[in-house]
Amino acid sequence: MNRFERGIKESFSVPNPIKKEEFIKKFPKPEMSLSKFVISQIPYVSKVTWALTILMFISVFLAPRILGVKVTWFISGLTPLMALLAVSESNRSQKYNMAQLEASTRFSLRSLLLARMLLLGIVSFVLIIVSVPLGTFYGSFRVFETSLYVITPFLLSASIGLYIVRSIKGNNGFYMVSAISLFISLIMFMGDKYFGFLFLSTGVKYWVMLFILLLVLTIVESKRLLNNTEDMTWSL
Amino acid sequence: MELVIDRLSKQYGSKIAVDRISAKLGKGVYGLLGANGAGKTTLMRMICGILKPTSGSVSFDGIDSEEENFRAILGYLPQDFGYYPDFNAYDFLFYLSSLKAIPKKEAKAKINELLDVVGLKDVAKKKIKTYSGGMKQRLGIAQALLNDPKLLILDEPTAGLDPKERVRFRNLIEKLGKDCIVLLSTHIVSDIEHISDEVLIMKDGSFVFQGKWNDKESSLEDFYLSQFEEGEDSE
Repeated sequence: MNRFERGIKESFSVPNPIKKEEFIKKFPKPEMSLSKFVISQIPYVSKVTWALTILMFISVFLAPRILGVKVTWFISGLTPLMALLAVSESNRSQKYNMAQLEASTRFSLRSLLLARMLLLGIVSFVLIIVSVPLGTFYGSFRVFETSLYVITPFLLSASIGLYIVRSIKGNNGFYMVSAISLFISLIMFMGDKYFGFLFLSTGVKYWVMLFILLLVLTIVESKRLLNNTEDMTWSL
Repeated sequence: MELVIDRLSKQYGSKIAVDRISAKLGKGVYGLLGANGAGKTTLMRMICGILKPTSGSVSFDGIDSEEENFRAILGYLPQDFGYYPDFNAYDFLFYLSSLKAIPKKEAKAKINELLDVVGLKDVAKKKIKTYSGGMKQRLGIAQALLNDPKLLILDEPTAGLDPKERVRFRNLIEKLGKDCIVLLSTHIVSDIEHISDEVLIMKDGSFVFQGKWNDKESSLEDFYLSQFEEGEDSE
């Protein structure tokens, strides 16, 4: 500040701002892309969900050393639990009565659900991508069969879970989804011991058909859940 | 600044919850009165765009209630709302700021300002589950103001507030009503009398009164109660 500026400052007092708030409000609000929005929601996914997901990744990496050839059954029993986490996360707004507040915000409940499903979907995809080569390398099936036995239980748990949380409101729905996912998981964990007949090479074509059917069902149920946000806010 | 409600209706099976309501609201505070089941909450949810009307439309300065731009200027306090179990007041307001697309820096300043306004600054780091009903309600009011709304919809905002908090809230709403449209529903007639520029009384899904109350000779409370009596007589 030179002496002229200092002189002016000393001679004149700064007037109080007039209509400062109105002036600030005139500035256009910054836009936020969907990808940025999805990333912004990472800290708001339940800490328990993230902790269990990390635990699943650790156990997938440790399983081959402990279980050896039986690793495929362990991994295929784990993916329905990953689907359970994704489904319960998408049901969180309704469970904690936040749906109305979230629906009235700029991004809306639909975008929020989409963000949560995307985040958990990506994590599940990474878990599957990591699991299949490990299962193939250490297990007794080829890559195609391993993929089927790992992904199909995930899709079964996800499609049934999404249908239930959409149809049955409140904790009852959540308990039912948990029970079904645990049941699917248990069957897969005990696959080689009690349900070996399900994994014969002659049955692969049925697994392929089941895989395609469940993939379609999971996509349909995801779409239905996203289009069902009005019903979620009207739960009183 | 104008909110246009055009022949808005909501029907559930054979029951008509809101029956062809039309109104044009400008800047100011509007008090919505009505008995339980009169259709107040249904109307408010449709205005907010979270409930699809059976027929009719809602727009703010030409922006339809289904659009993102409408929600960008909206502040809404539902009658009943929850919170995620691990949230404190800061987390709750930051979370809703992120859904309202408010940049972090701006959100931080706004949250501090609002926590001060609603008197929760000292307990902002405490978990919401430890709050009293009145404190939760004040937090709800704070979240509705995060985005400097031009349209503020408050469903039973004074429920759970003690008399001191209620007066503080009235002053806040009165101030907000100078710059935006505030529509608030309540059972407490005195709240409406003190702060509303206009009164809307709902019965069986329709407005039975719409306008400034000082037009009438009798008290608003007497008129409101007479609406209940008429209902009981006809039953």
